[in-house]
Amino acid sequence: MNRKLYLLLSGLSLLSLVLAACRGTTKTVEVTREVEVVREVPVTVEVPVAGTPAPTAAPVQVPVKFAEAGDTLKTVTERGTLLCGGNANVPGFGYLDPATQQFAGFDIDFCKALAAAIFDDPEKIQVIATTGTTRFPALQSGEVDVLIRNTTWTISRDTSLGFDFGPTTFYDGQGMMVLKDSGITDLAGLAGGTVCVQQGTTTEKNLADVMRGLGVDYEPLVLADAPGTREAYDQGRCDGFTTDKSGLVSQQILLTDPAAHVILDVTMSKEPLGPLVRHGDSNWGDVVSWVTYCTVQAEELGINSQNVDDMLGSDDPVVLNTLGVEGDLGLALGLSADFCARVIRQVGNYGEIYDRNLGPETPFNLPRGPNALWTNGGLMYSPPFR
Amino acid sequence: MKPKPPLSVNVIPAPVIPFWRDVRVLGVLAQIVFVFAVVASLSWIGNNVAQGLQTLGGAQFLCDDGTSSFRCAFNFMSSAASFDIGEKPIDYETTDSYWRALTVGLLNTIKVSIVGVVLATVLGLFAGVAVLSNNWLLSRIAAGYIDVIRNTPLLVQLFFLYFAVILQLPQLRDSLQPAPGFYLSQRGIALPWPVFTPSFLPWLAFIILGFIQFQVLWLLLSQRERQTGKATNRWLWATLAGLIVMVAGWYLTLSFNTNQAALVSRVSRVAQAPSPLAGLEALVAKRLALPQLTKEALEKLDAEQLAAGALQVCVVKESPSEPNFAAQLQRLNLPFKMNRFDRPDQAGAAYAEETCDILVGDRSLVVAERAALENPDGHLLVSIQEYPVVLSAPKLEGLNLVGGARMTPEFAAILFGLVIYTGAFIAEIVRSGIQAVPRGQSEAARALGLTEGQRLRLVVLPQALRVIIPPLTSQYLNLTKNSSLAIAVAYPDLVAVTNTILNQSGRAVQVVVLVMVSYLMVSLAISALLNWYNNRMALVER
Repeated sequence: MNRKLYLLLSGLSLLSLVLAACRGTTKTVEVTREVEVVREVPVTVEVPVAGTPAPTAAPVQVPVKFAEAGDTLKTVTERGTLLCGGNANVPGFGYLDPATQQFAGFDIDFCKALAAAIFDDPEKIQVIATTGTTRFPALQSGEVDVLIRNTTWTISRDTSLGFDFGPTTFYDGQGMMVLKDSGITDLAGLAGGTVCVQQGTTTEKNLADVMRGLGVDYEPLVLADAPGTREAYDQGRCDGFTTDKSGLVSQQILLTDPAAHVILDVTMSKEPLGPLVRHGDSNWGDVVSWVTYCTVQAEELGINSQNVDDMLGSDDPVVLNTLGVEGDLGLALGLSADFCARVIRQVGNYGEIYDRNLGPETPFNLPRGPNALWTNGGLMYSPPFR
Repeated sequence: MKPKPPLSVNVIPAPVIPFWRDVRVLGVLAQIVFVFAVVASLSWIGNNVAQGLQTLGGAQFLCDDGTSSFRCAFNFMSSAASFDIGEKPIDYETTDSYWRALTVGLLNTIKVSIVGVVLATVLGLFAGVAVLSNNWLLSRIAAGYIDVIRNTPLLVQLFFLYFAVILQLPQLRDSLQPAPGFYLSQRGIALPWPVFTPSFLPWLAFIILGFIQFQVLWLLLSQRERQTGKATNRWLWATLAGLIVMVAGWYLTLSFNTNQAALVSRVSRVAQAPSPLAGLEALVAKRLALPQLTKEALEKLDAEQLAAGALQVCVVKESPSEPNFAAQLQRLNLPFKMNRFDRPDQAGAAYAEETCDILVGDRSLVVAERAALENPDGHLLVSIQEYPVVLSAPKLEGLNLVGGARMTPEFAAILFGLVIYTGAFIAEIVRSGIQAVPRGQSEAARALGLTEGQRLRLVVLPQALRVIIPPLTSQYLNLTKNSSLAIAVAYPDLVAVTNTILNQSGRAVQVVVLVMVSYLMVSLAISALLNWYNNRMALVER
């Protein structure tokens, strides 16, 4: 009996040892592959001699050595779905729609844009709902491929947390919501009061900094998640509710009486929100960046989901380059040449994404403000696609 | 004769046991394999952590000189926390270090744990005894409580308690006031609280003197009673004598101390009045255009008039001067407004700008502020009485209650949540402990004629305690560790505060290590204490 037990035990421990060893020694096989791509570059040479016929485009063959697609893109392609860290509690940005049981929102649409660029199918995403506290470990540990969850771009997150930030998709700032009939019109009016803050954001620090600057005494009430914070404020536990203005707007419509509350005309911080990836995989970072830029570029060029197929036949070389009809800009990213066309066709340009989630047709009716195109006085600007 | 063949002994050769069937060898082997398995999994985990840290880069271990080393893993804790904490048992500013913030969180955890352990023990004891009671209703209620609470998750109970019970209390402005000075609202419970001023110490001497007087008189009277055989009212005389000393001491302290002073302008004519308070009364009465400050006359005025005419007092925040002076003004029905300042010089500046009619504080402070004025001769110093103890009553001011003692709804939620939850488990431990005492003990106690209370107190519980203490220790530890759910109800405990530190600094590994070490220290302290108690209570056997 005893012996059997020993045998069983030793067998089990051996097995676990072997298993542990297997996990420990698995090595990633590194493959280096050089992709030779031949690219035709039209070169026009101006000849300052009158009368000579214009020279035809001389085909020059340029061998281009492309960097190996990074691990993340390869992993995503092999997996067949994109794991996207999102938010389940901020309507308009990332929200689990109770009616459809699907994630929806501004941030989620950028996940879809990525999936459209990689797989030509925006539905090949799996949104992993993260909280303010779990989002960073989720990305650090590789549980998600990309984090698009109203996260502010700061130097410390970029450096000491080991992330790389993509282009800002939404320029936001921290605001303060109070009851309309409380008579509070500025932050000094909150003296002695309690302010509900959601943990795990730069919000706590911003609030403390601003209030210290104003010399206003207040009590913070820190809760772990957005629903709890909203509930405590809604019940009247706090005199003020602070988070990014975008967050305030979406929390406001979930309050018992949204019309009874007002967002003060103060901005306590700069909050550029955008996608972020792990530091060290530049190629994957490029993919995320350029898919985001693609939506902005398309809006600037007037390309939208309705006319994208007509635009494929456009005469404008900039449009053709962007959509991948000419050139192969996408290949350098490890995507297909027409990745931008895919994104616009299936998800839409920046303006369409904004309007669908936050525009006048939605309950939020959030003005574009700094999120308008640079040509309209906003900050949305895409580097050129060439 | 043929020699006898030697006696052939049928020796059975010892069977050679192959080592893989040898129990001893297998035993050793199994241990070696086990050690290997443990070491391998540990090193795998360690490797993972190291690799993770490698990916995060050297910024995690940044030293002050810009280099990166494991020695500097906790250097970041010395930088400014720059976030606020709602409840702080010790002084804490946003400019303090992360270490200080961590300490505040730890103290909050210890506070809720200690109060929780005491209350949960009381509740558990009652419920455990009640469930065994002969009273059918009582025992069923106790059993219902134990079953419902033990079989639902603590987090759910906390949410229910906080959001569905405590936050449903009336708003601060419509607070329930069961007695004057008591406020019960969703902003918590506030009640009057004594504040000890510096002159409490001299009065303490009189209190001690009073007790000695009581003792001496008691002994003297007892002696006389024995000698004369005549009964005297020892209680009455001894208490009276003691009280006289204390009351006399109160008035002596009051009249001889000159700690408190106030600054008023010469033109206000307060200093020229028979007493400063009478002068202030006249000042406010004149401003409100009333002949006398009677309650009826004041009630006729509306809030705006009262606010305009109220006496403006400048005072340093959280100094004993404030409740001391406020108590005196309240007794006079004088409408007043306290303007609190963080530093004496701010209060002095506000007085210089004529924001307030009077500057109240320690005499040295007031003298210094008078000297700093442009025209010191235009302002006069008046003495203010300092009571050894004043009752600071909470008062609604702006968005919050000021003064008194306050229990926040968050503390109440986590405290009562933990007490109710752990109390149910302790009740079960108490019940089983009582039932472990042989029935004969109870029967013997009854046979001796002990009452039911005496039976429980003197016979059953002392024996049950030996069974109860070891599992009780683990319940106390559970309560302490469960307090980490406090973030769900916004109570800033250790985990809530360190979560913020983690989010702000991004040093996950270091912060988690600190949290684990902190809980380990608290838990080990609790077990050490209860082990000591257990050893003391254990049956001493020879």
